[in-house]
Amino acid sequence: MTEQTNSEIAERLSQKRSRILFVLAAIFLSQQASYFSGHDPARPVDHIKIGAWLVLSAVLLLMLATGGAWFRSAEVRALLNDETTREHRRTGFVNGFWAACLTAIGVYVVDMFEPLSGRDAVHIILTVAIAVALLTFARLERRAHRDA
Amino acid sequence: MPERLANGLKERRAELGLTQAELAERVGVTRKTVNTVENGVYTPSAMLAIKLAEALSVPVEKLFWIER
Repeated sequence: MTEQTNSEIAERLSQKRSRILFVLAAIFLSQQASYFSGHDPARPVDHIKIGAWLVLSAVLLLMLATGGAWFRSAEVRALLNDETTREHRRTGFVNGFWAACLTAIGVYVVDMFEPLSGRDAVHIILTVAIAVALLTFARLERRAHRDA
Repeated sequence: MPERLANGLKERRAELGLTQAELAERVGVTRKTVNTVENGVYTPSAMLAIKLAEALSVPVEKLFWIER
């Protein structure tokens, strides 16, 4: 088997990352369905659900912030975070910020009619912000790979 | 009409018989970046534009120009 160059490895990982991000976003969003289908903060199973959501949120944020591929060489990671990737990630963060602001406004308005707990409000805002940032980044990466 | 940065990257790369992957390797970016610059989807930084021009042995102003 021929040995792959760093560029080839980065190319392959970059394509894989854009696909995985869509899957992770789907898992992340589907997790919310079970959270909002009814939860009781006193039940241990709900602590696990919320814990799982927190862990996945932290991992996704870390992945967005660093680009992932944490166990690869510095050269491969540099290629995986080249100029366009950084630009796509920046756009993802900007969209995520706006989504968080708009969701916060929405939550504020909803709270006037249907009181929400502080925890629920944080959950909704954080979930929307991460999902929008993630999907924006994944979509831009996917588009950049297309037609190449 | 808005201004845009046009480029002759594809033509120059073809002249030299380079693939996108080969050019990307010379410049130290991924093929995805070369592809988005070539297609005008992404406007490169001055640093990347100069690196691309150097890799293709052509002055940067011949490789990139403003289209009005």
